[in-house]
Amino acid sequence: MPNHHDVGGLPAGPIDRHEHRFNSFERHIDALCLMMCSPPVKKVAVEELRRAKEEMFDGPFLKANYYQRWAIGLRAVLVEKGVLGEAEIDARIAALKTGRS
Amino acid sequence: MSHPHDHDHDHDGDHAPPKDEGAGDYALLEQAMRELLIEKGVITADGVRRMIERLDEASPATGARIVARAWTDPAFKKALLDDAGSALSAFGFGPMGKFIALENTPDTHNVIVCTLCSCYPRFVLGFPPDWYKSTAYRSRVVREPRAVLQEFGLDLPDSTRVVVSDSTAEIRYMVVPMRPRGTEGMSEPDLAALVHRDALIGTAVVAPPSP
Repeated sequence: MPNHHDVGGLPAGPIDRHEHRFNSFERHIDALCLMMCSPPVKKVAVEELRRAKEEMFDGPFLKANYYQRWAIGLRAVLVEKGVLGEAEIDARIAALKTGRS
Repeated sequence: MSHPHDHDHDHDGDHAPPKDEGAGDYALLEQAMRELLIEKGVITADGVRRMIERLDEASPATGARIVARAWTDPAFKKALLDDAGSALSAFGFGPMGKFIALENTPDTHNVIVCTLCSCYPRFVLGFPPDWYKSTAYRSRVVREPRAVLQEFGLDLPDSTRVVVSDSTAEIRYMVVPMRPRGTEGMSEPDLAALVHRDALIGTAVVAPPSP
């Protein structure tokens, strides 16, 4: 059975042609992923990021949209490869939240 | 969990106005990773800024210039169709993986998709439209391309062969649309102005100039 992202040829409804302007978060996470996958940084392979995103269709991230999956996927790969630690990411998010409130 | 996706775009009537401008949990996750990577010296703030500028500058106007050049310069067109990756060095692009330009002819119409995800020639066409990434487009265009093209307002004669090319992270495509009638003697920039994004994806053709 094909994996969930392998949708080519499956039946589907009408195509929603509504388009939106990319917001700051989307442009930032796109740029960050691209930098991490490209020379000279190249700490992450495109395939690793894709695998992390494809694994996300089950569980708590079912509702995450396109770029939200990029963010979760990048986090998973960076932690897996020891580039960043879970704890330091969580601590920084908490600090940013405090700073904003 | 909040949804940064919903915040910063054109709002339809039934969308609630944004509550916390762009500061969703995912935006905080991105900011946290970016700051930590900069502090660790993996990336630089300047590098991030330049990458965002590069993404913002990429637009279908680049693809349109490439097509207009192909329409007016037979040697460039041949080079583009032979090996688009190399031919585009003339436009200042470095090697970006395998890149193939697909020529539309009176007999053959090309359309591109990425059934697995969202691979797209971004540095030539800019950000992909939302529908290009949608499950509906990715599922259907390989099975019933004519019906999909009709939804986009493109009715092709039965005699036209429709070729769907499925992109991957290793091989990307762009469509070189047919030059419309009534454009003889037009300058390259004027021709480029006729070419729009969907014609470069293949969900549209380039219309003749309005009189």
